[in-house]
Amino acid sequence: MIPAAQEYGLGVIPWSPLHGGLLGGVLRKAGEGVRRVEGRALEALKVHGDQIQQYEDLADELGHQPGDVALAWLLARPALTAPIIGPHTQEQLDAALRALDVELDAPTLTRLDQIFPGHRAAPEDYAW
Amino acid sequence: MVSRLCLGTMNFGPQTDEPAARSIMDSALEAGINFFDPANVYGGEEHRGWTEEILDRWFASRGERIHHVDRDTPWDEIWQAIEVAVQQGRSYTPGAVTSPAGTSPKRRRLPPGGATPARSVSSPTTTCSPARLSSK
Repeated sequence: MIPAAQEYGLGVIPWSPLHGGLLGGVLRKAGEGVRRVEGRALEALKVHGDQIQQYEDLADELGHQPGDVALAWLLARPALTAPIIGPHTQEQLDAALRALDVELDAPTLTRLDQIFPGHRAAPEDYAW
Repeated sequence: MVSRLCLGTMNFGPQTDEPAARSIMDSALEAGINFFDPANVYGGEEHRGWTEEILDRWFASRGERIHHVDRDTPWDEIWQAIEVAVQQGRSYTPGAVTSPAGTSPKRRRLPPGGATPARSVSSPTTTCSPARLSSK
């Protein structure tokens, strides 16, 4: 889809960029008792718990909030017009705005790809 | 151009009360966010449309209005009207406000080079509206 969007000059506008808080430091917040893990974040955490731990460790190492890393990564994607953020509070809006100033260097992007391998280009990904 | 972030408004109403929602929209706009995502279903099962009521009052308090697409009007005619509005300086961020999938404009305005569009005018999905389609 994304290569096709690029080809046709269409923008991609992803919603829920933090997946209900999953990429917003869910483990740390749960550990500190700040926020309970629930809903979609909880379901995904059951499957991707190890990856989320590695991801939060990487964010710590970089000195960024996990949510900032997720948004900064998205903002660096080709074809992406704008992620749809869904702040409940002023603080969450401020955090999203802060992510606009976060730049991830090449080694960091590589490490994120290692944590979350994603898909290869079609059709190789599923055809052979 | 739409901003790098789109302000989703789904939580306004059921999760975020109206004063807080207004304050978030004010600061988002001040920070340069000119791209909002409303939907007529936002507000929760008990109060569908609640979010758009909040947005509508916020727009009205700023002397602005949200416009919806008239599905009986051909897209060519809509585009002409938008172009006139842009030329006259009455509008600067035309966008598809919840244009139903499959009814998006056939003649898409793609930017030179065809990369990321400067305006999300022709999204074939049901989201996406810039904050201000027209003023006054």
